Amino acid sequence: MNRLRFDFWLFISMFLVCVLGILGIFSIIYQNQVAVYSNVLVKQILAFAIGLLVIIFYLQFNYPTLKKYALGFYIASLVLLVLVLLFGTRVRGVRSWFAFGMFSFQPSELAKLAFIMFLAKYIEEMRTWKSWRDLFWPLLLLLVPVGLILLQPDFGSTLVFFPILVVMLYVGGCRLKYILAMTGFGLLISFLTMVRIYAELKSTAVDNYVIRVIANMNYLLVFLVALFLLIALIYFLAKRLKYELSFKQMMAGFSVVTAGILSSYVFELLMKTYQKKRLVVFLDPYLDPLGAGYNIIQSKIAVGSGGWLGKGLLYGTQSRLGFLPEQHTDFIFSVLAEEFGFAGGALLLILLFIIIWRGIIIINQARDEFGALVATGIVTMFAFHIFLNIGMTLGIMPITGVPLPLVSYGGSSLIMNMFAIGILLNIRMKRFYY
Amino acid sequence: MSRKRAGLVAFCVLLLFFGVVGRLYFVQVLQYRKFTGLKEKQYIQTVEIKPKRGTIFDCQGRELALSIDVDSVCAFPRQIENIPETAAKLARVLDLDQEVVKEKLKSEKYFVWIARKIETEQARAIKSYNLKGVDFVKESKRCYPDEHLANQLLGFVGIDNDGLTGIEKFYDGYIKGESSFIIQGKDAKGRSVLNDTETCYTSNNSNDLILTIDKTIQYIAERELDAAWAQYSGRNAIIIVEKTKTGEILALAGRPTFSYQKVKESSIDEMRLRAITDFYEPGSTFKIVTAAAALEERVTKPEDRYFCENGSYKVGPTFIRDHEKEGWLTFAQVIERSSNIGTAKVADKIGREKLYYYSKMFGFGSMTGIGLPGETQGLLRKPKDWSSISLGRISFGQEIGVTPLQILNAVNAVANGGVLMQPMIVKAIRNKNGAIIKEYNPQIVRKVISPETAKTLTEILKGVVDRGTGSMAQVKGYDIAGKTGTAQKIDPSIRKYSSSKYVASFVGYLPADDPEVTILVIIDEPKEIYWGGSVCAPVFANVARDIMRYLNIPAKAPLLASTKKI
Repeated sequence: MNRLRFDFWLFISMFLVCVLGILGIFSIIYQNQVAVYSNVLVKQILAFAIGLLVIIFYLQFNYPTLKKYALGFYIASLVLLVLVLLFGTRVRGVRSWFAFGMFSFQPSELAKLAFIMFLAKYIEEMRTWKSWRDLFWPLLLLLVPVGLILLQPDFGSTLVFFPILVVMLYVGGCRLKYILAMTGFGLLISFLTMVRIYAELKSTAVDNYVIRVIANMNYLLVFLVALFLLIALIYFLAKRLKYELSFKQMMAGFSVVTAGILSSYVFELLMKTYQKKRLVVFLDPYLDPLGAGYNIIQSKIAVGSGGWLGKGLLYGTQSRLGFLPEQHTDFIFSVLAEEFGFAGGALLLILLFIIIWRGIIIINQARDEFGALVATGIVTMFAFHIFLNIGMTLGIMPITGVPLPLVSYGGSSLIMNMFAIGILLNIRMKRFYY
Repeated sequence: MSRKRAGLVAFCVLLLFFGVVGRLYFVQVLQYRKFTGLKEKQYIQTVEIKPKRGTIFDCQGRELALSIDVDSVCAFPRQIENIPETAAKLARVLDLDQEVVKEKLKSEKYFVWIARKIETEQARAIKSYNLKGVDFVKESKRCYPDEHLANQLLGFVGIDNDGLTGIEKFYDGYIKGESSFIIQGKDAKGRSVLNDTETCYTSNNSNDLILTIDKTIQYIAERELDAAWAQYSGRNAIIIVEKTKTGEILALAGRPTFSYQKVKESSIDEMRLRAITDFYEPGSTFKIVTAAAALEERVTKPEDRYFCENGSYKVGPTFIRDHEKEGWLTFAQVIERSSNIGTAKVADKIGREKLYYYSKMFGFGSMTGIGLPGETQGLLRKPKDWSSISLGRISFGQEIGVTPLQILNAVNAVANGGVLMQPMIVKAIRNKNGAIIKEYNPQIVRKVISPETAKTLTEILKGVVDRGTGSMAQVKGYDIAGKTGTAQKIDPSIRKYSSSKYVASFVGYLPADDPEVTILVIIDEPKEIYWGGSVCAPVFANVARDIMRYLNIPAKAPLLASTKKI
């Protein structure tokens, strides 16, 4: 009975993805006899084994019990985030790890799952969406862990919280206009910030006048005034012609644009130069060819020189000879794509896609809203990480330091992601129990 | 909650998925050529493998100069973690200025040299520190096993192994070899990846040089030169030993010389091979040439008598003077006692054209072609440019500029039965496989005088050593033929011959009747004593004695020697 409900596709895909990741790490450590890499393979295999145990263990339970522990789980993760700021180990200027001898633990990984569970519980109990004020608590639930993680400071790890919130609210039935406003705001702020930083870092003048307008705050303010006048004009014209238009809604849209513009300006002020470079360098790696752009250039060369079938396991030149940075973590996809070619890269993508696809099916099949929401959060988390990471290695996304789930080296991340898969499996298995 | 909404999420995910796969296809398949090109550009490098300079051997196959692999220290500034500490350690071991090292390590460059060709102990010390970003490169270093042997002759090489002086320079084309190029993979730090090398060969196309120099004889010459230099100092001193019958140079030493330890601090004067680059007025040693001409032209016989004017003889507006006041002397005695007046009188009989002709035939006024850098032809004017007093002056070695090698080689022709040999310094050039690619055989330049004349002249020159000015050159058990020279130097300030500055010299060969070696000793401006017979003849004797012993040349029967002495 249980065997039939066990999501074989999901499990096998996850298993194969993890094996590919371990193969990639094996290839890297096999070629680089560097001290940094010692134990990396062993630790990853160990984490994989622990992850499997966690899945098997968790399948013995009923996922609704998570609801009971969601609050405790959430608070515990916040406490850990505070503790890591006080007692964590500083690695490259970021205090995001607890180190226990050979092993280390990253509380921000735990915080993602805790946030998903607690938010799912909150949304399920919410039931109705009446006003903007209903967004207050979900936003607060997000901002506390995000704020704590930003203090580490680990900008990359905070990004995933935003799409999780938006997609969970969306699937949870939040009013569409709120979702649109939040999505619009998010896209606008990303777009404006990137364009403005790109124009700022580009040493020669940019010809494109759209970019030039966006880059200049004065022009943007003039644009806002013009937009406001236009909205007012349209409103009054419409009123004359007896069309009913909601002034409130139009002003809401206007506020989103204004907020987007102003926030991007604040963002720009807060960011340090290296962060700015990492954010826009995918648009033009030669903005900083030996710094942030180097990673992109090398990653693209590694992937691009792989061809259809790749150079073969252990024969990747770019990764093996140290051209490729952060091989076992952020750029592991480049290593695999270089050695296994388009065939291998596409296979990995398909396996990852199957995981997400099964996740979406599980959302639909979940017996209760809580299960559906948790599955939504997990699916969003996976999808966002996958597309941000692989997009980065292919030069179409900013460098954010986001790992590739189940593939990149990192014990806490691997175990947490496998636990997430375990939750998905559990939600599916328990769908007929009431 | 609306489960339909999950459908939109799925749709978005599907779109993103196709976007990423499309991008992957674009980068990996469509742009494959572009990125492969970029890969090769940064991954493949052509490396110049500098050749290892050939070895220089003496005539017995003993090493005079060789190349060994040593470490050079370089740094990759970006990889260095602690610049002040690294700089301090490097500076201490390498004896460099700490600030200079620090500047280098702070450089924006990817790669900097810290010190090239360092000592083994220094390399070991640096390696023991295990400094990050500091690495070593094997380079070939020129090494001269006997640090004070034939320095000027061998010359030295620059940091990039180019021969800069001496044989190293003249035969650079043969011993330097050509760089070979290998195409190989490199890693991100620019280090070569040898197992990825596509064509890896270490061709060693440099050649070895086998000289005619005999290390032992060179050592003898150096040793005696050092002793004489310590005693007389002076401006410079030279000893050359030539193998009489072949023209091979067995030893060539000069002072002052440079030290291989301090090449950078040495002056050009210490590096110059004066035996061929400088000419001087030979003085009385040139009388050998005059005598050879006179005898060959039969204008005089050894027993013909000349009146030596009691030491002062007016020729045109000037006087020729002798050191000792002599009356009537036979021609043989004129040479034995080195009378300028007697020689000038004989020269009158020879005439300008003939004396010029024989000077030319003996090789004066032309380069010997020994094959060393910077050789000069000396100064021999044509007879039409001679003044009324030139003939007499030239006959005893004034108004003519000769290089030490020229005078040695000319006397060697007399020793060799009148046959002028091509002086040579290189015996053979051999490639790394041991095959001789070029061999230099003894070469006759021309026959200058008849064997009879040579024999007659040898008898006269034996007299110089037996009872004349060169008696201090005697070596027990061997007949020696030789000639002293004490040439006044022109004092540039008064534009006349100086009365205090001389070039003392002695040239001779032994055993006189069947000579093995011809030896020249020159000391320029010796202190205190200046007579060639007193300064150079003893040096000659010391060199000659040891060479005879070394070459195992049997001495005459002692009885015969003693009878002859009486």
